[in-house]
Amino acid sequence: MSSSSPSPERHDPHVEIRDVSKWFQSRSRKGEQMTALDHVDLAIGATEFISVVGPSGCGKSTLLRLIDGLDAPDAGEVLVGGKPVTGPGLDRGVVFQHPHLLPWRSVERNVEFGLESQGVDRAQRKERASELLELVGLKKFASYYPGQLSGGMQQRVGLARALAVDPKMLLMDEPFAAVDAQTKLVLQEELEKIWLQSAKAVLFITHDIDEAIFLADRVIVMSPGPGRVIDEIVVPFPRPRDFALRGTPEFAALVHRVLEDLRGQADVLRGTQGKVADVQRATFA
Amino acid sequence: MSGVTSPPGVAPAPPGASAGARPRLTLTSLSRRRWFRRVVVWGALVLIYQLLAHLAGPLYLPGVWDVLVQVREVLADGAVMGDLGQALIHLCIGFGLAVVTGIAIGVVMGSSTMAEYVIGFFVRAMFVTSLVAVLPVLIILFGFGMTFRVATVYLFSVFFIILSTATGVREVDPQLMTMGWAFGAGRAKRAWAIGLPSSLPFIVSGMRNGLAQAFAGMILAELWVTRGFGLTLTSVAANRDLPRFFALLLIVTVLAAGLTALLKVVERRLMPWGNVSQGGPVR
Repeated sequence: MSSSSPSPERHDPHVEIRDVSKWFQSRSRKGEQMTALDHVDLAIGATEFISVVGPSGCGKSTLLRLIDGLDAPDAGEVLVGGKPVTGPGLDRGVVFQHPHLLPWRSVERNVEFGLESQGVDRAQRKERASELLELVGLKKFASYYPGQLSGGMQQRVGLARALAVDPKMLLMDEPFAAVDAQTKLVLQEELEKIWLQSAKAVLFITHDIDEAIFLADRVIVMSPGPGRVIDEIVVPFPRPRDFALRGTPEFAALVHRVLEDLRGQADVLRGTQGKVADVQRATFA
Repeated sequence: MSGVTSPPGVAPAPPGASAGARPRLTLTSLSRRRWFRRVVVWGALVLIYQLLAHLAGPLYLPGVWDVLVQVREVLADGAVMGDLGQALIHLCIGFGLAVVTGIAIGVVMGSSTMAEYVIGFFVRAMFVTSLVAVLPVLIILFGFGMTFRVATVYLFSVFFIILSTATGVREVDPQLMTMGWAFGAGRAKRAWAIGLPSSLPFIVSGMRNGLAQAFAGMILAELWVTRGFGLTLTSVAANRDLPRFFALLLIVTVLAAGLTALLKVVERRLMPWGNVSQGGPVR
C-alpha cells in the first residue's frame, strides 16, 4: 500500500499504527504460530471515518483490539492521540458485533455503564443516558430490559453506551452483522448522521462491502494469511450520503474494485498463485 | 424503524377476563388448568395411600384422617411446637452462616484457579463424604447443645452453596467481562457489577438445594442427640404412635417446602430480568 497518498487528515492523525505485527498460537496445530497481522501501517484522522473490509481471519478484529488496548502488538507500535496504547480507555468507545448488554440492567442503566467508571454522579448519568437514548431513538424504552428488545434495538443501545462517555473515537466491530437487512440500512444512515454531528474518528470493521463504502471516507481492504492491507480506497462522495448513492455507477465501480481485490486474494488462497491478482494489482495501481 | 413503537410480545389478556360469554367449564378445559391437575394428582395419591393404609392395617400405616387429627393436636401442643421453633432457630443460624461463608468461598474458588486447586479438593471431598459419619466427631467437638446442631445444619448445606456459587462465577460470559474492561471497569467493579449478578441464578439454586439439606441436617442432629424435636420423634416412634409420627413428619415437610418456595419468591424479586421474555416495561 502507498502510505504517501494525500489525505487532508493525514497531517494530524488521531491513531497511528506503525509497522504492527501480531502472532497467535495456532489452535489446531500446537506450537505453530499464525500471523494475524503482518507489518500493518495505518493512520486515522481525528474526524475520519475508516472502514476495514476483508474475509474472516484477515486480522481486522485484531486491529480493533490493538487500538482499544484489549491486546498488545508483538511488533511495532500503536499510538492513540500521540501516546502508545497501554490498555482500554474511555477515550475510545467500542461497539461489539453482539451488543453484550447486561441483561439484569435496564436499557438506561446499560447506557450509564461507562459513565459509572468515569465517576459521573447519578443525576448526570441519568440525564446523559436519556440524551443518548433520544439520539438513537429509544427514549421510550429506557426502562426496558435488553431481553425485551429486538436485535437492532439492542445494537442501538450498544451504540448509545459507547457514545455516552463522549469518546474521541468509535471502534465498531461488525456492529450490524447480526441485524436484518432493513434494520441495517436504517442503522447505517443513523450512524452517519450521528457521526456528522459529533466529529469523532471511527474505525468500522465489516465484511459487507456496500456498507463499508457507503459509510467511509476511506476503505481499507485486508487479506488473510497473513493479515495485510492490500488496498486503500478513498471514497469521494459528499455527505450526508443518500440511499440513492448505492445505485450510481460510481458506487458500483468502487464495490467492483473491492470485490476484485478480494477475489484476487481468493485465488491466492485456492493456490492458483495470484497471477490474476497481479494483473489486477497492475490495473488498479 | 418498524416494530419500535409496540413492545414485543404483549401478553394476551387472560381467558375469561373480558366481559362476555365465559368459556364453559368442560372436562377438557378444566384439564388444562394447573390447579385442577394438581388436585387430581394429589387426590389420587391420597386415595391410593388410604387404600394401602386400609390394606396394611393401622399397625403399619395410619389412615389419612388419623394423621390429620394428630396434625391438629401437635399444632396445639405448646411443648412440641416450642421444640420445633428451637430447631428452626438452629436451622436459620446454621443456614445463614452457610449462605454467607458459602458464597464468599464459592466466589474465591470460582475466580481463582489457585484457590480452586487448593480448596476445591477439600470441598469436593466433603461434598461426597457421608456427613452422617462426621456427626460423632462433631459431638465430641461441640457437645450436645445448640453449637452441635447449628454446626450440623451448616455442614449439610454449605457445600451445595460453595459449589454452585463457584460454578456460577466460572460461567460468567467472558465477553461481558471484556465489555466491562473496554468500558473502563476495574477488577472490583467487574466482579461486583458483572460477575455477581450473572452468577446470582446459580447462587440461589445452590441456596435452594442447601436449604433442603439444612432441614435434613436439623432433624438428623436432633435424632442423634435425642433432644428437643428429635426426642419427640424418637419417643413417638418407640410408642408406635404412627398417626402422631406421620403428623410430625408432615409438619416438617410442609415447613421445608414452604421455605423453599419462599426462596423461589426471593429469586423472582432479585432477578426480574429472568422472566421478562414477554413484554412490558420494568417497574
